[in-house]
Amino acid sequence: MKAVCWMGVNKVETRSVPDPSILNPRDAIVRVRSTSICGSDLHLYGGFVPAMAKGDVIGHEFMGEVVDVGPAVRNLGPGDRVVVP
Amino acid sequence: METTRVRSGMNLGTGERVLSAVAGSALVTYGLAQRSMRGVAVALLGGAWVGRGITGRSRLYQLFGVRGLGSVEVQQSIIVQRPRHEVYAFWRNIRNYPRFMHRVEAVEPLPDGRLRFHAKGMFGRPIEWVSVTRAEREDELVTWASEDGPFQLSGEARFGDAAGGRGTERKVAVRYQAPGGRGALALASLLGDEPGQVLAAELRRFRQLMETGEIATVAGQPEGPRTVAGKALTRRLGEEAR
Repeated sequence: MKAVCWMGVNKVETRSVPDPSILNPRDAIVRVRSTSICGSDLHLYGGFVPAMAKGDVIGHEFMGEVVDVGPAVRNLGPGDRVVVP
Repeated sequence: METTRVRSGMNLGTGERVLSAVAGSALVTYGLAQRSMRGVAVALLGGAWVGRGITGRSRLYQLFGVRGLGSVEVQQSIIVQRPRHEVYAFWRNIRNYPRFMHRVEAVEPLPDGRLRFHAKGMFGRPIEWVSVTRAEREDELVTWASEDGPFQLSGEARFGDAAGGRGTERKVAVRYQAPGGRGALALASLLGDEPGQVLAAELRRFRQLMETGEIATVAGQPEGPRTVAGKALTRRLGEEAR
């Protein structure tokens, strides 16, 4: 998949990374249709979070379409449109 | 979540204090004899060592959570949104331990009621110890202590109703003697095993398991490549699931 990756202080790039996988029974994978930028993304962008490594995927406020869910998810399925606040 | 640590002030033994003061004095003398900026820096470092020897306190050890003479005592509490008897029962089921306990891989009940813990030590070395329950009051309190193994571990867990019907407050206090002394403890801390954080992480995992039935993680999702130091830092900052 394509992802916005942090590549250093004040530097982001769109890169190709491995697809995510379902790790927990209640996980969901969402294809991002549009996204916003959270204030905390700016902290990551500006290099204020020491645990970041070059190539880390950022962005966590978005809307999109569910493509896969874990076996314990009952209220969502592929094709559903969702927003992650 | 709150962290309380027992303050003992001094965290250096007599031997290390004398060594620190003597070595520090030597550095001061050597540094001042250099009559250069580098010499001044050496003298300042020596001065810090002398101070460390005189006061018996090491800031570095303090920073790494090293208390007393290689002994550690940490206390944490957390609120779990489940009734008290459920929380107590979940915690009394030893099969759950490897799911939320740091490095514990299996708990084996012995015929006499004691428990043998199998865990992964530093650098993946296997360690094990036997733990015995000292006191037990249903839905209220359990205390335990290890009988053998690399450290003298003892602890207590208290269960109480959280205010406003918000579930159960679980308080845990753990005490142990670090194998390998303070040096090993400081190293473990650097590698992400700071005792207070480890306990806090265990409680968080315990709560997640009880409230949602799983532990949220991103371990395994795409991320940037990390060096050994980067991995330790990530763990140190609380992302213990990686």
